[in-house]
Amino acid sequence: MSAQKFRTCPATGLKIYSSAETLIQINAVTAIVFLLVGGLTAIGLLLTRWQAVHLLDDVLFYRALTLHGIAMLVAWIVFFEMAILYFASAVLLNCRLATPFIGWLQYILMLVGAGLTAVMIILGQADVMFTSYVPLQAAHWYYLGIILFAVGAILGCCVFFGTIGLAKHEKTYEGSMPLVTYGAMCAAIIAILTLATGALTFIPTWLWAAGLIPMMDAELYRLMFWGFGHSTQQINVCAMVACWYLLGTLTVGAVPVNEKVSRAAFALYVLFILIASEHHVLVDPGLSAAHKTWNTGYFMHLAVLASMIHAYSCPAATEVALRKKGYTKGLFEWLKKAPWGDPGFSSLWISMFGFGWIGGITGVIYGTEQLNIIVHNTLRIPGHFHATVVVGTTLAFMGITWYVLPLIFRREVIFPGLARIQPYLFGVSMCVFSVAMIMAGVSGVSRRSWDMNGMDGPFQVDFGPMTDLFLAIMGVAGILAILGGALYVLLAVGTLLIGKKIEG
Amino acid sequence: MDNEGDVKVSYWEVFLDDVGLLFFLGAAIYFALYIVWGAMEIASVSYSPLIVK
Amino acid sequence: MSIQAIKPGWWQKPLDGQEKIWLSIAFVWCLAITIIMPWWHVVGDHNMSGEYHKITGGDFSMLTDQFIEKYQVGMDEGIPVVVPPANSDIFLRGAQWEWDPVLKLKAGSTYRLHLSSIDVNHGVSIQPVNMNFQAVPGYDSILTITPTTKGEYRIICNEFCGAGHHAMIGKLIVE
Repeated sequence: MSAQKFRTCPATGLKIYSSAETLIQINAVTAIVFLLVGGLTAIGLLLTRWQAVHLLDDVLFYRALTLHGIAMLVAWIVFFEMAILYFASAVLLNCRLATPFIGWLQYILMLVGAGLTAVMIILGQADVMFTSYVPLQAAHWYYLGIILFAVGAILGCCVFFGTIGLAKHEKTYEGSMPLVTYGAMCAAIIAILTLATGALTFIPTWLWAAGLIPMMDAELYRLMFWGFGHSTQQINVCAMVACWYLLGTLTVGAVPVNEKVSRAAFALYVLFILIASEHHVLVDPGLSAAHKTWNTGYFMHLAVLASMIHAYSCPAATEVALRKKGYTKGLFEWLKKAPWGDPGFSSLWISMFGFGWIGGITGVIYGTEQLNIIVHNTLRIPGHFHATVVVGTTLAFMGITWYVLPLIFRREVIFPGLARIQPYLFGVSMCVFSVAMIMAGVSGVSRRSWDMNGMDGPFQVDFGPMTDLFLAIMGVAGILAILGGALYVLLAVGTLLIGKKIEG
Repeated sequence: MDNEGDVKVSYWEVFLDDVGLLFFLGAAIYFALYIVWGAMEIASVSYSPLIVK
Repeated sequence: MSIQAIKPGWWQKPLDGQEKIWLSIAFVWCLAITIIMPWWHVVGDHNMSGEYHKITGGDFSMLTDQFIEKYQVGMDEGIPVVVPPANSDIFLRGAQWEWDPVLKLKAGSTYRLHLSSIDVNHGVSIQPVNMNFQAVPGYDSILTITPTTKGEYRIICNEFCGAGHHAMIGKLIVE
């Protein structure tokens, strides 16, 4: 085992072991394939919710929506996170990967799981949405797929912790681990807790779907499911913030303003962010006001405090770094002269803006007990999480890609001019998309509905021309965002295939 | 490290670097406050008094 | 650098002045929103009533049928219309893919609205006032409501409940 091969990166001087490198590559590529699947379904969904176009029929719409959720929220993001975990442990700690065999098992289980789930959805055996609330039932293979995926991801986290332990044992670094690794470590802790809840939820549901045991209580399922469903998004938050620090360093050489504040903020995520799942059940029966207000109260707001800390530290670190480069005139010279043409840098800033100002603020507001009544299951909810998960996490991951390609895949990015505009095209249109979706939700349009006007129902609903306008804005911005996403996939895959090889 | 002797290592540093402890506290707070408390409440909901059996 | 390990003693680095200000603002703000929420739970009118019971789909269906039988005044698009007296228990039954019955309420009167589903999860979205609740099978969720504005409202199912989900639209009238 100790005879693992490595190369030394000429740019950073880091030792990169081939076992870690291969796993990073294969997880990242698989993530992009699922991003493509999710993007294709997005076209149909977008052009259907845009009421004036209304492209898909109802059955196909719900099927595409289920696949979109699984492919994007689960497959694309968790596969990419596995790549980040291997990068943050083996590469940044200068260490060989612990038990690469289990790393491969992680990949195979996740691939089989995601594939099985996706195939069941495409075959029409699982029109149950991402949430699959019981008693809605999918074929038992669907749940098995999710369980396999979750077990695979847990194994990936174990390899990560193993590698951290190995690095400490072999003294490949001195003092405390780097901040990015620390953030990834917090993401991995959250991931294990989350995925364990997922397994606890889906194993009984799988056995029920197979006809072996009685159904889980519908409210208990909702409580447990969100312990998995929302908390997986908290893995993203944590991994995304780690990526922000990484991007700050890679793009302008930013140094964290104060390590203790940033690290304490990551620890606050681990301790308190998971109970935030409560806001999904705020208008449910079965849970008392005490449970609801406590779990959306101060403990959860300590996790919000953590985000507020990062909202200061990340931009401040880039400002300090740019000022050190001599851009010190006035208040904003550093901002004007910042490397806006570097796709990593522009991704970082648009990601921070979208996550904080659109996603974060709406998230905190929607998570209060009373206001949840006017937002629950309206389009405001997907508006909120498209700002957090798409503008925030996805764009941060895309930004990292422009650095992973030369560093890990050793290829020069093709068409750098196009890569330069990609974050703007994708990020800005996604921000407009999210806001338009939120505005349509303000008038009460529900999410997950094929037709908001009640065309086939006993009574019709009219949301007025303003709502149609917002849905049209959402449609146009969404198309631009899909083009931006397609550009990303094209450039990333193109670089892998025909990008100029970098020696070293 | 040659200057290890004169560096004061705060307990906070030891705590924040303690992966196992963070994991344990994260798990305990989440499972106790969210899952276990929630499941206990759900289990203790009474049957509707409107139904007289 | 955030990609390099740091030497022990990093906790000793003092906070920057601006950072202190920002941390204080953030802390106070988080504390404020935490206090507002339970405070509003006590003094506000816009809250869940926090009353609920377990009930089987069959039992809830029976209660709804009895309720309809007692107060029915007509039919609307094949759905019974009921006019219940003030301060009474009223029922709204969600089933794939229909809300039963059409409720005709009096403005200013208070009712105890029982919500449930007899099959899968449904969402109760009352439009255009935009109030949204969850109807969970196996649970009778009780809301104390006092309609204030006269008019015709729609009850839209906003939780995915199967192929006919978008057609699941009910009516509520306040006179």
